[in-house]
Amino acid sequence: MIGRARPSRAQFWRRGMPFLTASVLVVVVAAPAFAAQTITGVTAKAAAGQLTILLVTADKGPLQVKSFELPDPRRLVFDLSGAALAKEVPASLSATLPGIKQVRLGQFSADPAIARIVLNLTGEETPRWQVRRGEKAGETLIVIRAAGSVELGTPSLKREAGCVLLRLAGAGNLKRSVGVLDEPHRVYADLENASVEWYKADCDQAPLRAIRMGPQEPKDGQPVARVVLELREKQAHTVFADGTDLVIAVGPQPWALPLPDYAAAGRLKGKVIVVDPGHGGKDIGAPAVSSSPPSGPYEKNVVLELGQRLTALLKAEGASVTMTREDDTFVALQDRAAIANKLDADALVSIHCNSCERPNTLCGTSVYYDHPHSAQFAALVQSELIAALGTADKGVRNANFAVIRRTTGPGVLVETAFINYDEDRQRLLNPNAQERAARAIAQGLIEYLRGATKGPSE
Amino acid sequence: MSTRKRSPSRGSRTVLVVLLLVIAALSAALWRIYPEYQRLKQRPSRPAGRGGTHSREPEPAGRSVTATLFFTRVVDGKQRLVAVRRELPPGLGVARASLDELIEGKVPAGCERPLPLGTKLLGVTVADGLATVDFSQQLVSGFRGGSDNEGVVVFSIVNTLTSLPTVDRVQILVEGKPVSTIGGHLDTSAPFRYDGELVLFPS
Repeated sequence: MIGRARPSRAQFWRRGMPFLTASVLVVVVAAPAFAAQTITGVTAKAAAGQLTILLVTADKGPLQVKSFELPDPRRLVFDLSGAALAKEVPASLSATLPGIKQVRLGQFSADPAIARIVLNLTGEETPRWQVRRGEKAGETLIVIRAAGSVELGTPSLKREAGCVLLRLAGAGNLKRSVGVLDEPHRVYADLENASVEWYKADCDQAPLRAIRMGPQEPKDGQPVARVVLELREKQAHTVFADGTDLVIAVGPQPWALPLPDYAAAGRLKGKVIVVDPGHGGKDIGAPAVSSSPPSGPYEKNVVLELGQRLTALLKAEGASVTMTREDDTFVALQDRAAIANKLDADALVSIHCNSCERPNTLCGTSVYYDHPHSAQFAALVQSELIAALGTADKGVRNANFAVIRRTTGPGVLVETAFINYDEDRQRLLNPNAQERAARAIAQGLIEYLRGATKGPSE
Repeated sequence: MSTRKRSPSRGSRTVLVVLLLVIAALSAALWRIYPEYQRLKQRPSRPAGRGGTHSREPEPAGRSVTATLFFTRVVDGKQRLVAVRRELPPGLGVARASLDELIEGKVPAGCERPLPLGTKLLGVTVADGLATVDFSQQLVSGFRGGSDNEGVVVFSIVNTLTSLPTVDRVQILVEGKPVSTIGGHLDTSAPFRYDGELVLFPS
């Protein structure tokens, strides 16, 4: 359906990952040969989350590579049977990858001749690797990929409720940033720690015109893959994880699509979070229609629903959650911050809807912070929200709103979408879109606290 | 394309089109300039400081005051504040004149009036750098909601007043009393200082 099928390299990597059990695996490059080889050159280079070790044999014969893992300290070992290292070969290589501390070389035994390459591992996961023949005769490549990185395969497409859903296996847990581009209309997702081969497929499933994938500039030494959905016309989108898969849906109101069950994993155990639904009681916040008297729905009602959904998710993740209001009551601005300060909360999320003077003029999502230490928190929540809701990205902003200014700990104020802009309001009032927004905020919060607890260990 | 087609009638048509374009450009320029010309005509001649039609008494020095007013402009889908320099008649009430101009004065092209419709200025006092400015209840009741919107309302007032050399803080009152907030985001119970966050600087 989406063009020519290629053999998936992702499958290869999955199959080539058997050494969790430290079992011995033999990969034979070219025909087996048993005559001793002399390795005259070993070089390594690290780029885009990939460490490539190039072995050159003098007599241009093939090398036989065995790999296994050793504990205490954890090492990944490559034994080159029937091979002897020449004197000029260095004892260690300087190129490394995240999760690999050191690469050393040595002659493990002279008779039988076994040369050995040892990678000292620091991470919990074992890197994946692949042995390839080099471009020239006598060249053998050991390509090691950083642990946790994913090789993207061919995406699959499905139609649902007038939308097209693109599914990428194995990409659900990757850190992503989603955006839109115009002329032609495109939705893209940059997936961190993922590698991909150039791919393009024309597509006749409206509104899709084509799907493209390709590597982007690496980030922090890790590969980044970009997936682009080229559209015939401007369409809404939503991006979400379904188990270990990533789904990008485009079409009319994709944010209303049913969501997969939420898989809580105790990721906020021991955390104290304050959820602050804005306004309440006599303070209606922004009305959907600012007639006189203003007609609803009102911001105060929408943000209470969002706050309740967020609270449920955070509790499911093991957090202790306090809401500044649980019903339609008025709470003064200073009291809201006081609740967070008294609890010494790990984070405060204030939830609002935006509005402007004239209806249907401004739209989009923005997250505000006051203290600089909350900037990263705001950025994570913003990124998740625009991916989930497909709203216009109004960016992370600095503002001295009372709640976030008075809160001493980390705090953000979320302007989910514009209540007086039709397409934004549809999202604010749709239960599935509300759930998407709540999950996005929860995800941003989890990522922020995960990073915050680690501290500046690097 | 063959050169045979180039006839005299085509040449004269080109001349006509060029002429029409020139006329259009001239009229557009005139249309832009005329209101400004009208405004200048109504203003008292500055160097002399006398003989103008303006009712207010000029200061002894005879110089008018340049105030910086902050109007709303939407840029990239965001409400921002733009600083507009305007000459105000000299006198003691420059703080008041600035806010009057913000509420009732000419709105610059592409900008909007920042304060809710119907908001009236009830009074301004300046003492020890603190401007206390009192508005009618429309400042709150006429507010349509939105966080940026509230920022625009508050900081158009605050930034306009703190642009005056005599003011560094601004306390907003509504019907003579401080209010905790206008729209539920900013705390207006205490004075504000100038905040450039929403201000769009000319590039």
